[in-house]
Amino acid sequence: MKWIRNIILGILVSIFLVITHIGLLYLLPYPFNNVHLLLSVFVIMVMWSKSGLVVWLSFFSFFLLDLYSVSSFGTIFVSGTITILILYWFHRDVFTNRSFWTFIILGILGIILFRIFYTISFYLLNFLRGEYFYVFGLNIFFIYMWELLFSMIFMAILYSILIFLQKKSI
Amino acid sequence: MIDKNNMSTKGKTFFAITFVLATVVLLHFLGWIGPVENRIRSILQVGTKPFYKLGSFFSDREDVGKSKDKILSELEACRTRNEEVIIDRTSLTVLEQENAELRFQLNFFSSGEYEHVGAEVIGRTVDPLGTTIILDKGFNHEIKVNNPVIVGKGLLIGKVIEVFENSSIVRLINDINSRVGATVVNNNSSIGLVEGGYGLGIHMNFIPQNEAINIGDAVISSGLTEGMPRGLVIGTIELVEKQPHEPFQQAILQPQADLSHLTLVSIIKT
Repeated sequence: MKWIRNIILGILVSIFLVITHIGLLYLLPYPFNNVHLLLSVFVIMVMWSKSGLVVWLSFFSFFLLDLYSVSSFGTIFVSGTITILILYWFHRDVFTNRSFWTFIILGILGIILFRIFYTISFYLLNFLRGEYFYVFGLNIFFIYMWELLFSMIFMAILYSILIFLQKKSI
Repeated sequence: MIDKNNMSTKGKTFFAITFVLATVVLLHFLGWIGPVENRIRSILQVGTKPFYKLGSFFSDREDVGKSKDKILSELEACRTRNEEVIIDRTSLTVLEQENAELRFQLNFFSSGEYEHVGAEVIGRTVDPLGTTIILDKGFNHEIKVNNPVIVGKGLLIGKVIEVFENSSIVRLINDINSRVGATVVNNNSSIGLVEGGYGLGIHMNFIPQNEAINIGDAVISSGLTEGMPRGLVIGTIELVEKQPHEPFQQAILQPQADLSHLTLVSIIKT
């Protein structure tokens, strides 16, 4: 019964995260709305999670987010899930602690990997669907830079809160 | 040996996840998980719609902090524009009367009305790449891909690019992938292609170099784009860019509709 409870809890958490992510996108003015809440939360989750369930949770959350996208279906959730999987391995095998520098490296790596995989999946899926879009220009580069900046700030806030709570509980 | 096992486990995990991802993408394109996706979309929309409304509410109040001088200068501009509109409207009425008379004489059928469906904007899509909105009407309301979407009395804002059971996605005219065949309301009825640019503005390309276009000229849909009727107002020319060595000139347009504050729209069924 525990696994059923975990699945339901996972679905509810995913729905909550996706709605909050989209809500922030609507509410915040440009360029603040470039913060990638979902990815930021999963990067932090990777650091605190003790199991690979975080990857499946990211799979479901990015799947939900993909339903709100006009890019070919799969662009967001394939890139999101693969990014979280790589970050999970990276944290488990390379930077295994929860230090500030680990957080910085994981955060930057997460956003960069996500956008690299996003671009690859975008062109690959469009190619498979027989569509062609020439959208990647300097403007998109600036948007990605804003995303990196504001997501890192958001992650830093989350990280500080968690560290504070952790210290308080000891 | 441990590393080898570790790598082998990772390989298996990666393969399993890739397989699941590929299967879900395949099932989506086959349409087998469409009903589930529509159901999930409806659930998510319940949560995201209030955020969109709240966002629109705040963005509508951007004018609150404006200085007195700015408001006065805008008021003056509005008055001037209003006078021009009154003059235009008068000549338009005369032209409409002449047109009606000519159509009657030619026994020409013209309804002048489009069959349309009203829709509410319930959100935007999440991509940084596109300028798109989500409407609360889908194929249950006979909405189809390429249906034009307007506000007011025929101000074009975009066209439908994706249709779901009870919602649809509209690509706005300022989206980088938007292309609409257009005509300038001038002596030459110059035709061209109205294209967007990352939500920052719209421009009209491929206007023949030898045709005279002026700032303030209205631009309407030409009817040459699939599913798009002629005569929907797109905007007015704000700037003309002309290079003597190029075969075409281009113009920067000011969209007639406010594309950042959309709440209620109409979808034209074509």
